Amino acid sequence: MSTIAFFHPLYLWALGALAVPIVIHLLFRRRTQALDFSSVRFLRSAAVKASRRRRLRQLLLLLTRLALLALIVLLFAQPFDRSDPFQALWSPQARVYCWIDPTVSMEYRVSGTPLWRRARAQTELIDSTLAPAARLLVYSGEQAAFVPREDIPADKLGAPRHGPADLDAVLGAFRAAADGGGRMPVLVLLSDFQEPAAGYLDTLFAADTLDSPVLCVMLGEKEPWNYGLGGAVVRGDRNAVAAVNVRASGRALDTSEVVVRLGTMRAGHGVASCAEAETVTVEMEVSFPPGEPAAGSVRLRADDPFPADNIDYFVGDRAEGRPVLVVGESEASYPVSAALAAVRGRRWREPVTRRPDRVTFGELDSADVVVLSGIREPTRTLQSLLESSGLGEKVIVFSPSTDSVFAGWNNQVFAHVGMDKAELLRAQRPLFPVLPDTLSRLWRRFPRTAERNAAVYTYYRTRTGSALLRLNNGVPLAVTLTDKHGHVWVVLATPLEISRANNLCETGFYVPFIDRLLRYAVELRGAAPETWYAGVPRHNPYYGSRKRARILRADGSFLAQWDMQRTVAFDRPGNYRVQPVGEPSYRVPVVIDPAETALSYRAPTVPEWNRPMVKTVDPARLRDLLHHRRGALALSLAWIALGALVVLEMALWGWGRGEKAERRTQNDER
Amino acid sequence: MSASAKGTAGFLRPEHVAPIRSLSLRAKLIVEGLIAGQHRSPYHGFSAEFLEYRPYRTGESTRMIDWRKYAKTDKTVVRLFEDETNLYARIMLDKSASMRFGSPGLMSKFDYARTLAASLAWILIRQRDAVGLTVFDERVGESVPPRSTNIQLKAVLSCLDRTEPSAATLCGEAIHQVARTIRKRGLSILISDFFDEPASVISGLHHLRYKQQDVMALWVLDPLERRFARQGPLKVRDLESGEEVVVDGETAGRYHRQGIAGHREEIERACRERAIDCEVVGTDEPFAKALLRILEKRRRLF
Repeated sequence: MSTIAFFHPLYLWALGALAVPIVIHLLFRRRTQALDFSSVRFLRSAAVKASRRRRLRQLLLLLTRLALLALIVLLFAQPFDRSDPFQALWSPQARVYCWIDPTVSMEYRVSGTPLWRRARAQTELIDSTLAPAARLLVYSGEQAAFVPREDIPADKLGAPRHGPADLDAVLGAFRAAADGGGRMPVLVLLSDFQEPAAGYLDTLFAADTLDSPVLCVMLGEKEPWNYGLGGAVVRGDRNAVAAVNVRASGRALDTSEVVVRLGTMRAGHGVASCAEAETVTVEMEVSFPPGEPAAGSVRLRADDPFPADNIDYFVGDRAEGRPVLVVGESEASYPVSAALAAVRGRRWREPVTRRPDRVTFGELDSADVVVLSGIREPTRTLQSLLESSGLGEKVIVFSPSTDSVFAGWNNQVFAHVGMDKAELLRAQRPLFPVLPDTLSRLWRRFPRTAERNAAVYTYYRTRTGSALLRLNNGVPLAVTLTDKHGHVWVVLATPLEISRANNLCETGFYVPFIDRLLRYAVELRGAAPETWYAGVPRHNPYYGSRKRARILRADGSFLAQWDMQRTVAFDRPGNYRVQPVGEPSYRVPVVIDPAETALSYRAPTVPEWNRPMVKTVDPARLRDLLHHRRGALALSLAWIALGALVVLEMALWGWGRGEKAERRTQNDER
Repeated sequence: MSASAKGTAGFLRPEHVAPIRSLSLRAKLIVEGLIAGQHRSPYHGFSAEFLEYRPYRTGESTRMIDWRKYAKTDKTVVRLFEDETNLYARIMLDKSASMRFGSPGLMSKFDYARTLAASLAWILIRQRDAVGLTVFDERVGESVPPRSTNIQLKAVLSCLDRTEPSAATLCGEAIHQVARTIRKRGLSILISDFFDEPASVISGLHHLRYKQQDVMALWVLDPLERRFARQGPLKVRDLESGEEVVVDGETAGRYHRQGIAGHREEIERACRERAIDCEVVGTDEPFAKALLRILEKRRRLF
């Protein structure tokens, strides 16, 4: 199949005009006449020479005219190499769709210019080299569509914001726009190509054969460097210690000041220096005013190309509480919820209680702790706990029911956590929990009297996991283990609901027991409270709870209200106050997404079959690509050839006229 | 030539004569046309014994009118004498295949030549000259020995009628053969296109002169052979050899004109050197022109 195509194929119809010189040539071609003559003695010398010369001249003239016409038509039709899909950039029918990476990493400065401004300049460069009839469109996040560049306010064109790049929406808009037909679409991605954007494109390029060419313009610096802060925490009350991690990548950090502020007030300072690719922890003494836990910021005073991550936010003694989800039939889940609600302090947020058929994946995802109590039939959502389906690592407390109706679900869970041989046993005499060393961190200050009242009559005997507490016959009452997905399971031997299998709900053992189990499991998982990243949406903790909360900025001004939205996000880093209705308010520090500070650039990986359709360039190479069109030399040569053919035509025509004049002269002389 | 002669000469053009198939009739018309255009009769006789009177014909010379008879009878009559001629004229006609050529609309060279020969014979025999005919191509063909009787004309015309051009030209060799048979002084009229080697032709002519012949060469050429004005590519076939050449019209014309000019120059120079009259006659020219030249020569010589 030919790789040559034409920008204006309709002009090729004009090739029919090639028939004209051929017809003229045939019509006016002098046929050889036969002549019987008296003697050819004087004609022999003239036999071959002249006729050959004349035929040659006429043939050359015909070929020259045909070549001339064909070349003119081809130049109008503008041939291009179809095998290079990027030839579409020079087509008058080109539609160039530009996406400027809106993520905050584009604020990285190269020679003082942020990458997003360089991206904007690239769009201007592309626009200046397009054919007059071609068009350039830029993706607008607000409209979720590609619009003409002039339709986006100049100050907003390419301006970054916190949050992930929604490449799904971008590609969807591109496909919708490019399906217009009759045009030659080209997608231009102007980005620093950090993860996860690079990873997303890897998947995209590997998934399907692309229909349109994609030009990836890598704007990031080849050897980026940066200083940054992260993980700011404050320990203590009034005379506290603020700690923050300072990192240097690409260059060593000379001695630089780190300042702690509470609002506008400077509360402490320290000094940081570290070698290249090193992270150091700087601790500073800070003084907070009495009252509610302080919220402030830590700032690194150093010049670097990416200052956005030189500030971190903290809230002392975060009173957010852990989200807990209790899933089970009402009578089974109520005791657990009540127990968690009764735990003193704000370690656990008020638990969300759901029936098995009503729990959503989002609720599972946003909870730190999931308690499964009294589940007869697992739903597809609950199955996701046993399967790898994108859930973050959880703490799952499993309370098995001794009712045979629940046997199916029990066996699934037991099998998942490796307890295939769990036996359901009935004690001949009531069993009671035996506390281990109460000096241990888990059981410190556990009320001892509670244990004697607790009685277990029916239980599962398991032989897998690490025992947290045993019954007096040595059988573990609770074991912990971690499954293949990273979930920490706390598996009870007896139900936590009101049941004939035990009387735990009726004793003082119940509440502290549940609290300690969950705390230990959370600590075992080692997870810190989930951090809010600017621009990154999370599940609305008040979604579906019929509660709502007002979100206030650090200065007390109203920002938003969380009620019915499934997901919520903070637009920029800072300290915010969350005011749930009917509950105490709490502060939330929102920091820059660490994915944006990684400054790890890489070109997307393109599989072999898509290589012709994807080109990765830097700005310099883009300029060359736009200004030195492939085939431009051939085009110039074509014009030169056109001129040469015109000269040749005139020369051949003149040759013929010269011969005629010569003959006329000779005839006249005779 | 007088105006009436010019007008008469117009009727002696080949295109007017060509439709007449009978050679005898053609010759008669030509001759009478010629006479009508002349002030004096082409016939020229010597003084001899009185033979008879005959009526005077308009256009004849008044020298032969018997005025005494006129005075007596009021009738204009002419004295006829029994001429005694001493002219032996031999007409040699080229009948090679090349003589078959003729441009469209014109007589072929052979047709023109034999009409000319017939007219000559008519005139010469009427004035009591002995006329003979020899036709030749690459060799001597039919031959009619010179005689001055009335039957001789019929024989000559009949021979001319029968003859058709064919074969190649070996003009020189044929002339030599004829020359070898000549015993008496006389006039040799050679009608040909002379498409032979110049040296051979000249040699033959020289032989005739050697045999005390007054030679007149009538070089018959078609206008195309003289000018060769043709355009475009041509495939030319030689009528004698059948050889074909493909040429370009303009270039071929140039070469042909150069060739024929050189050929003519050579033969004409040789004729001048040997006191041979060489006249180029085009087949588009009136017969009178050639005839008058011949008759003029006849008059000068005898």
